[in-house]
This record gives sequence, structure tokens and C-alpha cells, in this order.
Amino acid sequence: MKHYRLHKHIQRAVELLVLVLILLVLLFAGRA
Amino acid sequence: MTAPIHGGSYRWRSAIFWLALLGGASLIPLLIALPAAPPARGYWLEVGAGLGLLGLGLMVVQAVTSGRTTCVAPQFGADNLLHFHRHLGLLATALVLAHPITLLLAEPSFLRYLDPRSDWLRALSLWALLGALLLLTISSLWRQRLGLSYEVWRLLHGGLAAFLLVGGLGHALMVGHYLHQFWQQALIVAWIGLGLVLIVASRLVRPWLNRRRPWEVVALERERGDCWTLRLKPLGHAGLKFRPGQFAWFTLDESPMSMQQHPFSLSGSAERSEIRFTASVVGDFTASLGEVEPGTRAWVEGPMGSFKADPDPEVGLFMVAGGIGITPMLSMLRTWRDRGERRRILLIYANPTLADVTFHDELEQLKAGLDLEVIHVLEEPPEGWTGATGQVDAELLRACLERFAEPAQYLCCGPEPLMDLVESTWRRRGVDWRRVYTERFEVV
Repeated sequence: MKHYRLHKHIQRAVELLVLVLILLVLLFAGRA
Repeated sequence: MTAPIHGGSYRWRSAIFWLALLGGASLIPLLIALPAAPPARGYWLEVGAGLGLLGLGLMVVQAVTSGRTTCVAPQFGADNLLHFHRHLGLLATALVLAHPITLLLAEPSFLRYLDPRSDWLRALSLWALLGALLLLTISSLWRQRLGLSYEVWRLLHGGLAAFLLVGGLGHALMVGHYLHQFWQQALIVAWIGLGLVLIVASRLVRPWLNRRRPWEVVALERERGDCWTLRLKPLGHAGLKFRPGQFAWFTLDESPMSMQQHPFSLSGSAERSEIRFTASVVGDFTASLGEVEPGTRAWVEGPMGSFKADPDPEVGLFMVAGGIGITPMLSMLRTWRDRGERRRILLIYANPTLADVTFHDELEQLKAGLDLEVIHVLEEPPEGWTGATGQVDAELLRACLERFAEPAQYLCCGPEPLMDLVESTWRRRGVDWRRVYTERFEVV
């Protein structure tokens, strides 16, 4: 699978999304 | 269902909207858990539990982005959506695996969950879920290396995904630490149920509904370049509404429930009820196309894909096709001819020899009704050939770009090396990547 420009953007977007989700889980865990 | 027309380029706004929507959707189990959450235990225990709930949400999102969800798939292009699905799937697998690992590191006594001596049914279920997750990921990453046919893989993928959703839901409900109130349980069942519905709909319900929309092969035509064109007419229904450049899944001579589906670009005009697809002989299925009898029953699922031209006729089209990659572009040309739409089109069409140029004569005829220029590039030209020879190269693309005025859209379809070269050349020459459309099918 070649990673051309658009697919690179998609990959970065997915990584950003997952990073935000992990941060929210950490916030969820730290609510106490 | 056809996608709404939405301009001729990828849009940041639309991407951010969908990303936020899918991100929000993956948080739903956490949001359901939060209002009635019991007092927090240790920090890492809560992180572990949170990862499990997030994993559950991501699994539903994966069902939405599976590439067959008709309200989502045509918006992005099947290959782009599958790329998203694949990348998110890998990260979701890592997050789901991090759920037991974090919990075990934080509280080793949780090992009893995986110990059959403690509760054999629970332990067996959890091991089965872990195994299913790994099998799903491995079979998707290395389908061809494992020798799995697309049909078997698709069946396995759907089955494992459904098992993971049901198993994950059961696990969350039985642990019940966060989801202990009835309203929470009802909401989580509804949410996971949505994911299941999507999986079942794409594999069972849609093909089952499709049985009322049969097609019949009316003609089979041999084309230049070892290709076959199949022409199909709708039987007792209005046919397929598609935008030229899109593709559909075809099933021939079997029940619509068959897993033997093959994706092909629709090569005919979108203005006619009869549809056609043209395939070059490359695999078992395409090799058998020549034996298809007129009158054969067929089933069509689609349209899919966002390989579409800008609806604005003022926008010129710079097309590069290699071999059978001409089919989506031919569909556009035939459609515009039928609509009497004159737009600037430059088509570079690469083939090994003159005898391989599929639709050579028709392209010549199409020039009469369209503002179309075709540059044939032949690897092995016949004697006396005055056109371009060899491979499509950066020099040819540059020369064409210089004389092709904006506004323009750039389309490329063909073998991987051609698409790589064309895309990188366009990029280096300053073409906005959002105006470049390509379609790559080899994702799984």
C-alpha cells in the first residue's frame, strides 16, 4: 500500500483523533 | 442511495466534521458510563477501564467506516475510507489490548478474569475475544500472504467483528462496574446494536433487499487489449443512479446473497438505464467473463467511490489513464457526450501496444462531440507511429500541465507505478492535492 499525500493526511488525522481520545480517557481516569 | 454532489475537491471542513463526529461516536460508551460512575479507584485502574470503554466505542465506529455503509462510503472514496478504517483499526486494536494489560499491571489480582479455574466460562470468553481481535487484525494485514480469498476474508472479517461487538458488550455488562444502571445498560445495548445492524446490513440485509433488483446480461463484447465488456439491463426496476467514475460490486449468475462479488468501474453513460462494465482478463473471474451467456442473471451493489469529476463544466479535466484504468474516465466521456456537455478534457492514455488500446476507435468518435484531446503513449509503437512512446514520464506531464489552463481537476487511474509517478509529478508542479482524484483498490 503506497502512502500518497491524501492517505498521509488520513493517517495523521486518525493519529490525532486517537491521541485526543486517549487524553480524554486520561481525564476520565483522573476525575477523582 | 447516491451521494449528494459536493463540489469537486476534498474539503477540510467536511473532513473535520466527520472526524469530530466519529471521535464523538467512539466516546459514547464513556459518556454513558460517566454520569453514574462509582467513586474512582486507582488512577491506572481507571485508565485501564476507560481504555476498554473507548475500545468498545471504536469498534462501532469501525463498523460505520467499513466501506460499504452507503451514506458514508461515497462521500470519501472507497479507498480513502478503507485507509481510514485500516489505520484506525490498527490503533483501536492496540487500545483494546492496552485495556487488559493496563488493568493487570495496576491490579495483578485481575488475572483471575483470565484463569479458567476461577470461572471457566468467563476466562474462555475473554481468551476467545482476545484471539478474535488478533485474528481479525492479522487476517486483514496479511490476507494475501495467508492465502485467504477476498470472499473468505470478508466473511471472516464480518463474523469476527460481530463476535467482538457482542462479546465486548457482554463483557462490559457482566463486569458492570460502570454500566450498572438499567438506563446505562439499555443505551449501551442500543449503541452496540447499531454497529451490529451495520455489519449485518452490509452482508445480509442489503444483498437480500437487492434480490428485488435483478439485472440481466444483454450482451458481451470483446474489446481490444484482452478485455470484455458486459452490458446489463435492469429487470423490472429503474436501474442504478450513479455519477460517472463510480464503481459497483457485481455478482453474476448466482443468488444476490453470494459472497462472490467483484468491484468494477461502471464504464457506460450515466444517462442510460443499461449499465456496462469492462474488465481486463487478470484473474479467475475475469478469465471466465468470455463464457458468460446473454440472459445471465446479475446483481449490482453500489454505486461506490468518489472518483468523480467536478460538476462545474467550466472546470477542465486533466486525465491520465493506464490500460483498463480508462473505464471510469470513459464513463465520464460517454455521459458528457450524451448530455451534450462540452468541457476541456486532456487525456493521456498509456498502453503497451496499439492493439492494446481499449476503446481506441470510440475515443476517436467521442472527439467529435467533446472538446477532447487524447495523447496515446505506447511502449512498443507500430512502425510509422508519430505519437508519444515509452512510459508516461514527468517531462510529458510537465509539458501538458503548462498548456492546460486552470481551473482544472486532475484524475488518474491505472497501474500503481503510473499513479505514483503522475501524483508525485503533479504535486511537484504545484497542483493542489485536493484537486487530484485517484482510485486505488488494493487495500486489503
